[in-house]
This record gives sequence, structure tokens and C-alpha cells, in this order.
Amino acid sequence: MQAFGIDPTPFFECTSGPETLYGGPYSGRLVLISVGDDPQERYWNLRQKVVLYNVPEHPIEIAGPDAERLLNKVFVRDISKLKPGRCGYAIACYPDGGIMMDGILMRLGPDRFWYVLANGEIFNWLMAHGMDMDVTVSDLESWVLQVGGPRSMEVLESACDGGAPDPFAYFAVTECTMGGQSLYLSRTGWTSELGWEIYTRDPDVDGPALWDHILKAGEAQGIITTGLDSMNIRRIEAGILDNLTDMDSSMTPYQAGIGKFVDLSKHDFIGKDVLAEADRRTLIFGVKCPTAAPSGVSPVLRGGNPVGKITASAWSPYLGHGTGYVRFYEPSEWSGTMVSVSDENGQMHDAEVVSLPFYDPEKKISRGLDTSIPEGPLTASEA
Amino acid sequence: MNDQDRVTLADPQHLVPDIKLMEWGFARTPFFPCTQTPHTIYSAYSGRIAIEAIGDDPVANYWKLRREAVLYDVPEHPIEISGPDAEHLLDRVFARDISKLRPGRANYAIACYPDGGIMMDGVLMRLAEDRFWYVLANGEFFSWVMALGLELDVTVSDPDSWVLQVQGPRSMEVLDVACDGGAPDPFKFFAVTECTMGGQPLWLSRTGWTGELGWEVYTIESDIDGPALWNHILAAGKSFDMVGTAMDSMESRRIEAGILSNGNDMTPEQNPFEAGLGKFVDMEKADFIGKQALKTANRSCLLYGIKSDEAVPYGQMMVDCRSVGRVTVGAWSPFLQHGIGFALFDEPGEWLGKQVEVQDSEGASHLGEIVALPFYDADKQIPRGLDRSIPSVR
Repeated sequence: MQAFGIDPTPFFECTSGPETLYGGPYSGRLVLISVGDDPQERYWNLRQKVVLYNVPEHPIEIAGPDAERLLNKVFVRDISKLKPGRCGYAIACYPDGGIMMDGILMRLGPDRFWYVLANGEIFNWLMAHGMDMDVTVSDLESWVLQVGGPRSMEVLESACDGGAPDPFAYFAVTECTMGGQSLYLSRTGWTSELGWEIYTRDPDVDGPALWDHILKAGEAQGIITTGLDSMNIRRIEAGILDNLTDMDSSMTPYQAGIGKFVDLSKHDFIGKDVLAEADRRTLIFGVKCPTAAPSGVSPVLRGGNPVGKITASAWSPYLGHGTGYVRFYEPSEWSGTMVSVSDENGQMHDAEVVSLPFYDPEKKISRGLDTSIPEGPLTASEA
Repeated sequence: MNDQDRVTLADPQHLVPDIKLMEWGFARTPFFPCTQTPHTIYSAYSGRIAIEAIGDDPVANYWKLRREAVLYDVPEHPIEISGPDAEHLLDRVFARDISKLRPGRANYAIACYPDGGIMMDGVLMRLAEDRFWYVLANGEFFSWVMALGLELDVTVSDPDSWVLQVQGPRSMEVLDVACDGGAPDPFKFFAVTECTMGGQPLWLSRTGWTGELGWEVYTIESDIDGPALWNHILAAGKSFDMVGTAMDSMESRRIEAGILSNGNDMTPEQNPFEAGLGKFVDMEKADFIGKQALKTANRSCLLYGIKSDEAVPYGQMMVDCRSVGRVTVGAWSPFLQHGIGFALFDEPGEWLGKQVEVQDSEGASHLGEIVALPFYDADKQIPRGLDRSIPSVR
């Protein structure tokens, strides 16, 4: 069913209220931006306990004997190395090397993949490139929930019928049921906290029942649910980019700073010729502003001249400073330079250009290797 | 985040409550201020904001559309396909013969999936021998055309063009005033040409989404002054009693005219024959995507009109307590003085003349009768300008 020209989610009524604010459409789906609470406060639930998020990601299925061949043509990393039961972050490019799409590719079986889309078009692109192959591209109308935070694995233990899968390694994907409803389950997320995501499999999924089941399972761990505004703060700290917001078809993966996911040693893929010759320098950096959160989509000045623009920003409650991404117009040794950024009132502030992410570059938190729980904002000496 | 960054989105089927939307992820039209009122309600379409209602009287505006003229900001999204192989590519993509489309002409073109299901419909304009604009309905299409053209000498691009429609029996008089130097002459049904209005260059076509006499303009320049163009056209229409309003007044008229909305009235689940659009499929043509599948597919129509004594509700259609399909859109026709809608059946059958029960979202049952589409003017005499009679307000 479509409403507003957008698919609402099966969890629509779980979060719908007079204060609820949506964004999007994101891949044809509504984005639950806010339920009217304070994201700065909710952020601490994500860092210290656990949060349930209704996310707009959109899985599509690619299945058949030629599925791997098709995906190896479309994605810039080597899909033959992805084993069944595992996930990989995969980027698709246009022939000119520009970024078309990013997302999580899950290999559910030797000949069966789900690609969990960010915002943009890729369904018909896959369909067109697979037309002469033995492969089926389909939209199974699966919907996605994320549970993130240091206590998320305890919640999973109660939420999964029969307990959490074991082992359940970082970027694993498996089947499970919750309250009798069949799901795919992956150890992935969009927060760089410990966490997991579930993907509905039955078109007649009882959304509210699943929602309530998870909330009940997480009661002892202090689970809450809220809008993506609190998630946004954490994903910026973690340097996670959003397609069409922070990066788009006018940049290569190298320019977006995600060149490590391009495998030029692979036989052939769309965009390879151009990427092999492309400038490897990144244009996207972090900005650290002690006095304000930079305003979204505002220019970044150096010596009074515009040198880039802010694509996403937030005040980090943990770091105690404004954070954001700057997309520079030209490559340079930007790290460590001082720039001016605007706050939401147009007031200019000094900010330092830093490399991304703002902390935890080895992803020890999401891998479950760093289980320390921050008690509150970093003190001056820790920072 | 400021209040002006938020819009209210409405569900035309009223199945879910209105929502507040932050404008992020879809584009605001250059005419946005022209229809902005405290009562304006929006929806999303082709990545663009669609103006659903502005708080005026849609029935009064329906009569404006039937008797005078109406200006609409529409969310259609043109893409450009150009280069020496453009015709070759489009002939592969579309189910009708594109080689027959001459420069300066437009036609209605449907693209199918390989299984024959409908991917997209819209108006294809041939601006020059090697240059086409396809004005998209709602859905994904850009990457499809680009992928199929990868090995060809062709460029697929988004010209960032925005579309206005002027429709109604007096629309050609409005055009004569609105065009700098007067309306183009000749300007036939489904012609396309260049013009300027108030000095701003535009593409102009004699097309529309209402079954009324009318035209559409497509902005060309990226720094278009939207409000200036809107106000220029409004001023041109002043002596013809034209109004500028939202698409809610268009809805009854397009249903009367049997004009389908992609993704709503038809989906990839139906092929063009099943949607009643078989006449736009050229099975004689060398090859196009979906042709093989359409050779053996069901060619019986599944989509009909439905009429009733009240506004036709959305919902499941039942015959003898068995679900047989659904109503995809429903409304009241002020002209016909009965409820109208589209009935999409699951299976072919002798549906014409059948009585069905429509179950609305509250579970109440409504009687309806299945009729042929369109509800009137099957020869398109009105948009062709051959039937100039003005209906009285009822």
C-alpha cells in the first residue's frame, strides 16, 4: 500500500504521534526523523544501554546461478569472496566512476543475495545488467529494524525464539524467529555501536507485534525507541556516510574516502576503467568545532574563501564539541587545517579539519572488543 | 530545524493519518511559494513534491477546469535521451514504434519489464532528430535507460526541468496571451515546440493529464524564476477566469477521462494489455523489451471503470462474497453526478455490467457497477479541440 506516494512501514502506528516528524522518501520509504523527544538525551541510551530504531533501508533480492556474476559486475568489491552467511559493505558505481549506491550485501546462500539499499535507484540497474543472465531481481517487501547499543546482544538473547544464534560474528547473517515471526538477522548497523538488524520475510508481517516483542525483550536492559535524529549524532562520530546526502554520483568512492572498498585487482566491474585512473585523494573530512554544531549544508570558509560545504552535522554529547562532515571542493592536505563554519544563526565559528571517524577507527565497539561504557561526556583530560 | 522546512503530507486514500515531513530527500518545486498556504497538503512523486490541495474548493475548481481554465504545478519529471543512438535505444525500451515519432511531436509511451509488466508510462517528446525528453510518471526509470544505453552512442541526463499544466476550454486563449509573440501556429494535439513566456525559455506541448484542451510547459534553465513564470501565466489567464490550484481538482477529471496513474492504478503486476493500454503496444515492431513475454501473456483487460450512487471508496471488490480485485482510485464526478473510479480485477472475466460490492477501510459495503473506460469522450474530441461545448454547472 502506498500513502503520500511513499510506502509507510508496518511499524507506522508504533511510532505515529502528534510530535512525529518524518523525512524522505528514502528509497521510497518514510524516514522516522523524530518522535518529539530530545536526541541529545536519547543518544546516551544508545551509548550506555540499547535503542530500537525503525529504519528506512530497502532490501532487494538477487537470486539465481548468475547472481554472483551479476553482482561482481555491478559492485566495486569482489563478491566471490563473500561466503554464505556473511555480509559485506558494497558500493555500486556509474560507468564514469561516480557513486550510484552503497549498502550491505548479505549472502544468504551460494546463489541468493539480499542487498540492503541506501537512498537512490538501483533495482532497474541490476535488472538491466542481469537481463541476459540466469538471475532474478525482486523486491520482497522486507522491512528493517535496528537494535543498537552495548546491551543489544542481551536483548537479542531474549528476543530470538530459543535464544540468540551462537556463534554470531560481526557481519554474520542468519535466519531466526521472534515471537514466531520469521526474519533474517544480521550483526550490522548504522551506529558503530554493538548491534543487530532484522529483516521481515513474511509480506503479512504483524509489525506492531514484532515491535512490542522486541521492546518487551529489552525491558530489563532499559531499551527505548526513538527517531533517527539520535542515531544521526552517533553515525557522524563514526564517519558513516549517507548516500545522496554526504556523497553522490558526482564523486568517486576515493573522493568519498571509501576507496578501500574498491578492488581494482578484480577482473571487471562497471566504472573500473575510470577508477583505475582516478585521483585517490579524499574530499570528505570531519570538522571539529568546540563552540557550536555547524549548520547543515552551510559553506566552509578558509581565509574568507569558500573551500567546501557541510553535508551533515550534530553536537556530540560524548565528545563535547560540534561534529560534521565537510565536502571540500578541491583535494588537499586538509587534515589539521583551521576553517570557519556557520552555526544555524549564521554566526561563524573556528573549526579544525580532522580525519574520519572521530573515534574508534578499528570499530572495536561494534565488533564487541571494546565493551567499556561511557559514563558521560569525555572530560577535558580524556579529550 | 524551522517550521518552514516542514510540510504536511496527506494520504489520498485516508488510510493513515496526515504526517509532518521534513524536506530532505526530495525536491521542492521552483513554484513552491505560489501554492504555499497554511492549508497546503503535499505528497511525494518521482522524487518531487506534489501539491495535493491548497485548501480551496476542489469542486468549484473542477468546474473551472471544465468551463474555463486552470493552472497546475505538476510533479512530472522529464529526463533527456540524446545522441545518434537515441532512437535505437528508445525503440528497445518502449512498446511502441519510436521511429514513427517525428521531431516536434510527442506521444504516450509505455516501457515494460522483460516479463511484460509495466515499468513506466509518460509522454515522450521528440525535440530533434537525436534528442528526446521523456516526461516520467512516478517510479524508477533513469538507471534502466542508462544501463541499456551503456554500449550505445547516447547520453541519458536529468535536465532539472519542472512542469506546469494549463488545462480547460479557454487554455488556448490563455496560451495566446502567455506566449511572448502569441501562441505558436499551428499547434496541434501532441505537438511540442519551443517558446518563451515573460522572456523565460520553455518547451511547450499540447498535452495534459485531464482529458481537457490544454498545454504544458517545461522549464529549460536551471536558474528559472518560478514565481515570475507562475504569475506571468496567471496574469495571462486573468481575463479568461483562470485559477491556479492543486491537483485535487484534477483527480475527478482524470478518472472520468480514464487516465491511469503509474504505481497506483497499474503496477509491474499488470502488462499494458491488462491495463487496457494494448493500443500503445506495437507487436509488429522488430523488438522491444517485454515483447517475447507479451506474445503469450494474458491480453484480456483487467482494468475497468466503476460507477456508483456515491463517491466510490477505495477497497476490496467482492462478488458473491469472494474478493475479485480492488478499487485503485475513487471520487465523485460533479459532471456525471455519480461516483467514479477504477476497478482492477485479479482475473479476466465478463466484468462489464457486473455489480460488485466495494468494502471500504471501515468494513462498510458499497454497491458499484462495472463500466468501460473512459467514462465519456472516448474519441478525445475535447482535448483535440473538436468538441467545444461548455457543460453547465450541476
